[in-house]
Amino acid sequence: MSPKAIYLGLFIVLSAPFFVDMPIEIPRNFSAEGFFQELEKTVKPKSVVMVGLDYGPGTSAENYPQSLVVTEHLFRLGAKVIFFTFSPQAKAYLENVPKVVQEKLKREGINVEYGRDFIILGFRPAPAMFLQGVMKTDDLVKFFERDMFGTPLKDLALSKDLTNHSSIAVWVQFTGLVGMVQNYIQFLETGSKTVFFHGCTSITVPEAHIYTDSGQIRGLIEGLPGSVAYEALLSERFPVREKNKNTVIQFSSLSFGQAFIFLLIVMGNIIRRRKIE
Amino acid sequence: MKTFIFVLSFIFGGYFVLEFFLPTQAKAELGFDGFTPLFLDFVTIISSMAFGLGIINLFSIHFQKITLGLKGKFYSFVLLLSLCFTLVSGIWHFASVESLNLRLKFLEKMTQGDVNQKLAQLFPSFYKTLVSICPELDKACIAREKENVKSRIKDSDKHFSKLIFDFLTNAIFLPLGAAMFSLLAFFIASASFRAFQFKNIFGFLLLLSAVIVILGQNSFWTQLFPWFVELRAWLLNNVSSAVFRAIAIGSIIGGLIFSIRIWLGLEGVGK
Repeated sequence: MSPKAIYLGLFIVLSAPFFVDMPIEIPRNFSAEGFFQELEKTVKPKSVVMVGLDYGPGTSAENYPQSLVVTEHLFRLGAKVIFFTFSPQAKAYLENVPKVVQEKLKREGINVEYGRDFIILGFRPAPAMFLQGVMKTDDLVKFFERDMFGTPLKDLALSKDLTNHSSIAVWVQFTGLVGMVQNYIQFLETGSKTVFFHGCTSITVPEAHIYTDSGQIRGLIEGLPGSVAYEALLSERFPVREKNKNTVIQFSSLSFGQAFIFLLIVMGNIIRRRKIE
Repeated sequence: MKTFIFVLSFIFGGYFVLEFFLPTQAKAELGFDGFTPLFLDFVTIISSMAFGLGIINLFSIHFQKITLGLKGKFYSFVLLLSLCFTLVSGIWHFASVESLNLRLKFLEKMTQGDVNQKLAQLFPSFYKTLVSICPELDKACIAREKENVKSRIKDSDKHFSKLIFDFLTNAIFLPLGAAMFSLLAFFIASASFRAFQFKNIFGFLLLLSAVIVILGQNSFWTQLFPWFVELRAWLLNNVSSAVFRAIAIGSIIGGLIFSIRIWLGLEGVGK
């Protein structure tokens, strides 16, 4: 089989769900279920949650849907969310994720306001130093100084809930960057001093599992299948919510792509066996 | 020079070893608290300098290509042009926001009253603008001006420089970045047909685990065989985690040995 035929086949298989409505069953995902339940237990109304969107366009296909569903869940639970990133490429997502969720919730009559319910700190360089600083400082407002738009943090209502690191109930982070999650685990002393949730790509799942097993990661969302399972859990918990159709379509596309790759593996082996015989 | 680099590597390497392993009390007594932020600032400065060096390097290579008319000069031109546009729009926006923030701080100090003259000398242009708006320098007028500056900071994302920067990022950089990564899917598909083959028992085990992980999250397959979800979870939680832990421990020990070799000048420049 020529590479061109494989590429064309994959293109058709991946793009079909975007044009034709294909109802698909969402499989169970134990990690996503664990993440959902733990977040429900840990986050109370007015809990301060730090959300790190440490990804770029390369892994946004997996990390972006994760960010959307978890941000929506946090807003629905009444958390005060602080968005930031250690990746300069994530700046666009940093503005987009809260905005998309804010507009979605507005359609349901839930009002989420910038400054009161969430703030965007923007890009922060040097992850190790930033995280160490958060753990050491007694005045987070002074430490964060300004938001992404240059507004002093002390002028924003959310800053009243900030003192030191113990005022942060939960840390959530999404990344596909190798080695990024270790910064959080190392400097936040996750599992003992802080509660940490993580969203990873399908490639970094094996790495993330060792920290989930040790308790350093409280909850894990694995790639796009994780966010689709989370989406289903959200709809179950909040039945009136508007579903993210795009995430389900992307998952359909992924499922067809996986089936196609499985078929290619089988075909490749059969053809090779025949040649040997 | 080599000796100098070796001595520097040894001192700073040793400092951070002690900084990590000494108890907090002992570190406080030895005055580590004062030095660590200073050294970490050095790290930031040196890392920032690396960006500067990178830009100089890019310019020297691609400018040469363009001027000498070498192969790929068009791509070099596009690269330098996009670099300049992104750099200028980013710095322009940053400078305009920072100047407004500085002005806000100046106005805050002015409302405190007692340091007016000193501030006027430090920021003559801000002072001149303020006097033209509030000739009496009365607190109510300064407060109004403060609110005006605050609203301008809030609206800074509508600034022309920001619009250019956002266009370059959102309309060009992000889609191209995603497109580059999405090409991987096609290479993986091709590789799965050609290379993912059952040649021996190890190849079979690798193939089997890959198939379980793929199908364990595939909607069609799990509808037919729901137990595949549990099988995938078991494989990841037990087999994969154990192996990955072993690999991680091995690579960390390797990294530690390599660090000790650099620290003692047995590796690289210090040798």
